[in-house]
Amino acid sequence: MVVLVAEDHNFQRRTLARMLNTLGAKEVLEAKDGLEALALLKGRGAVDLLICDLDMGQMDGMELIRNIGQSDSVGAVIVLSGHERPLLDTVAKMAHAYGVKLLGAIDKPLTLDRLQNLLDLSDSLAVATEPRRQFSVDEILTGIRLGQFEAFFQPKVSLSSGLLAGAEALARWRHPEQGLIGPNAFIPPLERAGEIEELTFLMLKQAALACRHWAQKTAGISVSVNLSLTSLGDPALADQIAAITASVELDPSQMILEITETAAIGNVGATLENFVRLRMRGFRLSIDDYGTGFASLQQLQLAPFSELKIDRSFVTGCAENPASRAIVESSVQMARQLGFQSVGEGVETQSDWNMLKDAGCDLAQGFLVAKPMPAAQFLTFLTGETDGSRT
Amino acid sequence: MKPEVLDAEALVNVAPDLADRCDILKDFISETRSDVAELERALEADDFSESVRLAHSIKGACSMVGAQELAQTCATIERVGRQCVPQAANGVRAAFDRLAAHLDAAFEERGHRWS
Repeated sequence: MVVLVAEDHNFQRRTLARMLNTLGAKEVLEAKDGLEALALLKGRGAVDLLICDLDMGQMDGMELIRNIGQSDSVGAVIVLSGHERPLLDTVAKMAHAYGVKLLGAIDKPLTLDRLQNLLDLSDSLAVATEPRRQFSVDEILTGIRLGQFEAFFQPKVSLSSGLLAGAEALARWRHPEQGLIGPNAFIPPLERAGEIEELTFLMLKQAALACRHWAQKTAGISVSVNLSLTSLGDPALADQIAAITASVELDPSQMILEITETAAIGNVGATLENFVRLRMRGFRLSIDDYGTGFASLQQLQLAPFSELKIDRSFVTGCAENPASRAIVESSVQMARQLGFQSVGEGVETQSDWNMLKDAGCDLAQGFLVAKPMPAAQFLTFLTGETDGSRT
Repeated sequence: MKPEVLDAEALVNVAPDLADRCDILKDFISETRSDVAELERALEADDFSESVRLAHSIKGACSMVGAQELAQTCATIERVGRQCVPQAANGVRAAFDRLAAHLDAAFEERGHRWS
């Protein structure tokens, strides 16, 4: 693992670099502020992990995170700071809004154990998040057309019964030279270029087909697919999605369309027209990453949603964090009052699970249950799941 | 409870190896010596924001090595800032001197193993 440490205090930076070497980092780069960090990234290329302080001289941690969000040159970020917890939580939300994968905001002092835990998490996320190099939109589209993209499936299970309820389809790129590549390397560039449609339809087709197979093994397992808000600006979208499920004879009620409000809605009329038509045809609509970015109460009133997914930044570690717990509890309660199904994303530990269960949340998704897996492996998971249960 | 000058256990969580801990402490004391001098100057010059910034940095470094007393003194400066300037400068100097003496004694005592 290649790690970049941005910390303005010489002793703290050197000691952290020493700790990373002790833990077996392949290479540790050091920068004394954000400007130096960006220069190093520019000169050397992408790194797996950035550990950055918030208070730094020339360019502070916030500005560095904002710049990284625009460059896709860092796999994941850990924020290191002696500041109080609520401030670190706000930084976590800020990073998310800038499209930066934040593994954790940890307060000082840092110990080898805590650092190791975060490195383990970074390792386990590496496939999903690591942008090994930057790809042009043309390269990505060519990859899609050459059949190098496929849907992986991550299970969602019932917190009360432990039984499988559905799965979210997540795009992966099997690059012939770079190996398995996660969505951070290709979705942001495609969305910025307004070229997300081809990938969306590929995912819809693969997800519909997979779900049709599952129905032959176990009834009632739903599949979720992410829709970009930009796609919803085309009034023809609902009919195109319906044609896909019809072509594989999948009941639309088995498909959940997840929407993240990453930006203000452009074409409100067309978006709502799509929402209404999708609902009338039986599809379910879900609010993804609830609590971050623009996803807000306003959106809940705007459209006929039936599921609310609470963002991982609140769920992961919620048992230890009173502010996160309050947000999780109130989101679950609100979902219930609105008649929505609630899903906790980013469930990584048994205490996250217990906390969600106590809050009355319906479903859990995250590494504690299972990582995203290829379609064939998910079929095996599905078969095993019918006789096992979680408590 | 009065904080310890140096909680030796804290650094074990950062560096399990004794020789590494020795290097880290040498680096720490030299860096902190100049930070403390800067902080004294800032406090005397009534430079509020610089004092808080330096106190925050020293506190961070101290918490890594378990220098509890100096960490706590700096935490107070960070919290109350300007209000305690005259006493703060003396407090920081006294806490640093105790820490430096403590480390000198430790190095001397175990010199044959630490150096």
